Amino acid sequence: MQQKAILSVRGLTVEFRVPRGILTAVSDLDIDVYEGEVLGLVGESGCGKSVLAHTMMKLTDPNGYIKSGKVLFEGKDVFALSKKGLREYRWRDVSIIFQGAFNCLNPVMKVFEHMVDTTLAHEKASRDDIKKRSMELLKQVRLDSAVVLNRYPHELSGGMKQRTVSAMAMLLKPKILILDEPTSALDILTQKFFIKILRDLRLEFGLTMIFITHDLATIAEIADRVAVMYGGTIVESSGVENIFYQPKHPYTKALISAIPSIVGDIDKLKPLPGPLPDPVSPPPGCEFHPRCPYARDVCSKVRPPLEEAGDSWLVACHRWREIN
Amino acid sequence: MNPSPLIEAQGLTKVFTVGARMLKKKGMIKAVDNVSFTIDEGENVALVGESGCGKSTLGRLTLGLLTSTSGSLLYRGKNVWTMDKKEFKAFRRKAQIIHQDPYSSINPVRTIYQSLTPAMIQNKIVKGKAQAYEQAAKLLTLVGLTPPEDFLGRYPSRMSGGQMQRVTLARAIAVNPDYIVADEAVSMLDASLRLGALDLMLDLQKQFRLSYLFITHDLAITRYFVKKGGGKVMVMYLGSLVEVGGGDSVIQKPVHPYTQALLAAIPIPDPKLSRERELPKLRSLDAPRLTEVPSGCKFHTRCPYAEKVCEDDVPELRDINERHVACHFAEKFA
Repeated sequence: MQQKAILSVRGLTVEFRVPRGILTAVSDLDIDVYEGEVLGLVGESGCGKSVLAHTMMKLTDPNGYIKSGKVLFEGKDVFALSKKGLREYRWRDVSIIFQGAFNCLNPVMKVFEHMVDTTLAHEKASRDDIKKRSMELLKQVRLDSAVVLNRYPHELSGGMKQRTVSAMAMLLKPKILILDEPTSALDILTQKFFIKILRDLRLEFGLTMIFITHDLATIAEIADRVAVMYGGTIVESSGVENIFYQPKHPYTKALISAIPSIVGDIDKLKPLPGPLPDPVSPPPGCEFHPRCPYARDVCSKVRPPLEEAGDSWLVACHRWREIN
Repeated sequence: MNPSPLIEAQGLTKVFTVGARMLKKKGMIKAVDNVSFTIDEGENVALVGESGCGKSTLGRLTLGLLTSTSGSLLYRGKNVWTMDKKEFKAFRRKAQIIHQDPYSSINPVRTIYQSLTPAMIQNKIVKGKAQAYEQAAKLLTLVGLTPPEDFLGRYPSRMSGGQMQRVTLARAIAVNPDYIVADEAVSMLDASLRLGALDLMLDLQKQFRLSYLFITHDLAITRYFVKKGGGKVMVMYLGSLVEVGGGDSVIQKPVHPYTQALLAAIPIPDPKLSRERELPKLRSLDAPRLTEVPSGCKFHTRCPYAEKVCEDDVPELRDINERHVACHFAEKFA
């Protein structure tokens, strides 16, 4: 089945000026996000997953810049949008829940004022209309809407704040919702219910989601398709079952077998040797080669391209054919 | 007669007072509520619970870093708070801690060498600079930072998180401790590095006959730790121990409704399995506030099986099939 890409990233490179030199956070990255899917974007710290998400919204830190590449939303070039166009694109087409966003609610503003603020920043609407919309959304995330609207952030628990923020992100009915580590700061029980709520939201609104996390177990639970990042680029992407049951890239393989679980054989778990690559002076060729058990000469010289390795299955490894 | 356990907590309780600012009334938080347990020499104890349950406070109490509101702490049978100065100093040397964030627990303007050696010199483990350097190099080799000469002169900012966590381990064992509290010691590490750090901890344990109080919120990590290293698991909820059991039996067959809910909620890195699992049955999604801890069994406001007695009476830890469970209806779930 040919799926329709709603958001495409092509040849994206994002760099940061840091005291030590130039840090390449995202490096010549290609990815497609298909309409209606939950794409799990997984990687370890410093792999560039958050920077990628921010760049999809054309957000960069003051010391960062987009060196090359494009982000296309329904065919239109996001980086070429006017100020007004960008304002509409953000929140109406694509909205994002930042990491730790639930701690960024203004402590002296009631939840309802947050809703008004957010809506009016992007479109015209009456307070009554916003109230109606917020009530519905809060109910959707299983909050007592009448009560929560009149509360200050400090009167809500972490899980309640995270759900409030999710409702805020849905205010303008975006087509894509990006979630950056939305569950990492939540307790296990709260996490579980939050994921259930996200699933319901998606069914209700036919939402496309990009779910970013370092936690593979959460990805297994929510994603339809998984993209694995290492050293600022995608090393493998495929359906969630392919990634977990028969990964092809050596890094994915190693990562999957290094994740402890409450079930399964712990003797089969293997720690991954070596440190993560330094993004200021990354290893040449394939960035994983210093840690890779299958590395050959070519791996330290030539960066492997993303190759088709099956039905909507992409792998960036020189030796994927031999080792699988 | 059995020798005294290394660490013995008897009814440890810690109450913090909070608030009392502006119009707010002063609140009390019972972070740790009447907790008793023992840790034998060379034994692992994993302490599991969600954020705010008091697990870190309990860890700090067992180190003598905090004084308890009531209850007592014994080290090799001796009450820590009636020790004389010399004994207490010796205890503090024998009991060490590894924090969650190595970058904030090691001085950023000192080299690794400068961070490792003062404690060794002060405690007269080494004499003079030459010996200190040699010993520091030995420690780094032990924790897998080789060649040590490459690391001793470095500053923390030039080290990765995984490497820094190894330095904190090295610093903890530098003073020959026999008890180490590892407070979320691997939580900050990346997935690919966690197992390596856990294996190292267990390896050092064998070499130096260490006891660990391994504090974590992650049940999967706990399982790996106790399956590989043995020991027992204690589950904590709002300041109280609700379930204690040997090895990974608590994780395989949880008895307390809270432990059951936790295990039902933990994500499993297996797409088919994780999607087949049902949501845990709970009466309330959100944990109660720490200042408004429920009466009776603290879990009764969320417990799907709660009855009248649970609201009124505090359940004690009782022996059930080689397990200690604090639930009025434990037999029903065992």
